[in-house]
Amino acid sequence: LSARGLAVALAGPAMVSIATLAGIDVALRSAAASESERDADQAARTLAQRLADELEVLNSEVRILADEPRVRALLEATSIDQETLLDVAEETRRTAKLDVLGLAAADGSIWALAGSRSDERPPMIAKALAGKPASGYSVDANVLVQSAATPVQFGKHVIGAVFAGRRLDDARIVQLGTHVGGPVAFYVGDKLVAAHFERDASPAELALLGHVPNRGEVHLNGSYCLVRQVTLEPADVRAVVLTPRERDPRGRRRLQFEVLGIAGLGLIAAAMTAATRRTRAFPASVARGQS
Amino acid sequence: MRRPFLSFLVLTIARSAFGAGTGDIEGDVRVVAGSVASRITGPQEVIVYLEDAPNVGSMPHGPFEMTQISKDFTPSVLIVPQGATVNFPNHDPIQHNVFSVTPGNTFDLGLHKSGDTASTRLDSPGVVSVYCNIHPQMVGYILVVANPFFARVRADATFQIRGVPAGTYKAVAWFPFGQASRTEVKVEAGAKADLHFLLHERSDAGRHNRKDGSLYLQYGPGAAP
Repeated sequence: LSARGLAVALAGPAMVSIATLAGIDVALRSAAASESERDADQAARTLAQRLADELEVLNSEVRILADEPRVRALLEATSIDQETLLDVAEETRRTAKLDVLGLAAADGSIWALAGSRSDERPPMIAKALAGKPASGYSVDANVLVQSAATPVQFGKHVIGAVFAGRRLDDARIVQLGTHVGGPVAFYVGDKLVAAHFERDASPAELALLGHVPNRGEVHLNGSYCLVRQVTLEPADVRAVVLTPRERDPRGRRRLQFEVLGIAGLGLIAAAMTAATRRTRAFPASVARGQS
Repeated sequence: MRRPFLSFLVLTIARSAFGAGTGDIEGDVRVVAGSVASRITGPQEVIVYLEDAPNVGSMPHGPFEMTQISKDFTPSVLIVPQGATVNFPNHDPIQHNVFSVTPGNTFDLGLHKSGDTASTRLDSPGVVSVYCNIHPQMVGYILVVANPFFARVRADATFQIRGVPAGTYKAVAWFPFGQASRTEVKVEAGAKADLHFLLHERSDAGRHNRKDGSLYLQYGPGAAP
């Protein structure tokens, strides 16, 4: 059997194997990409739902606090001083397991913000004093705070406002990341205010992440990630969730090697069959005629 | 000149009415803790007094003061004679609103700021529970006594009331953490009457509502029942 003959005999099976392998690879890549996109969208939906649920719980808590007789009596009293208000705010904050609790009298002249690390008055308090409940996110000493404020009323008369806040600190960001299945970061405008992968990523990468549109892809910490954004209240606060572009590239590669192995074995089998056909012995009758 | 004479006359009449002889009351108190998280620090928190003994002898003298400091009443238990005026100076940097809803001694001293002293007169004998309308953790008690026959229990859980006019009286052992124990005691002239009390701590003792009956907080671990 000549080498050319063997090559011709093997060309067909080899081409079929290569085509199969390429087809499988394309199909696997396509399936992985769709799956990653679905995962990323699901992670964003889960994050949005979780944050909405947490804010709803905070809204309920602040409504209950606004109905507390002690809080109402204090805000109604005309001769209450700021130290007493702050003291009650601090006690109530600890009891209600909140990070920040604010009380403000109707005219805004006396107010207390227990647990806050800054002197800035959250804008939601002004909204609540105007008679409208408000919730969303505020920043307290560079830390993002889930916030809710509600008016304290006697009938339709607003006698003050209660503000409640829970910080999105490192521990809670990690919890959120675990819940949604990917790293989470929060931006106010272009400024990163919370992320649990902050130490692993370079400042340039983090800055880039802040400019990624609602759906995008970034190279972060040595790997490609899909990015999804969730816009919060107020609108300049955004939550970003990352998911790996491919969840299981090793699995895909293993499958490719397995297919490659099977194809290789098939080619060897085809080559051996072709070689056997070309070198088999003359039939006995032909041998006798020759003798 | 007339006052000393009148006092002498009253004392003489009292002695003849209740008999010239007096006796002593001695005894002990056992306090049973309500739980492992008991608030009882010792038997010294128990006061034994006679409810219906005559008002003869020396009564405690004022001024009587229950201070508000570190969001607490100090002393937490004060003994005053019937009709005494009690002062409530506020030594905290914040405001307080001292009040009581104990029948017969109801009062509301309103908001008073740091450095101010509010006062009230207590006319009905018995235990008066004193609270702050702003701070649920502030609980104080004033025992208003109608006679001088009372004693604080010693650290060794014993007590002694001396010079009690002979007669039969209702003896009460009271402490801030549970139900008072009442019993009858017969005092004979020149004799010693024995009394033994058993008190049980209650975990809900001291819990209370605001002056209007509402809860301080409706939820959370600090909420009153």
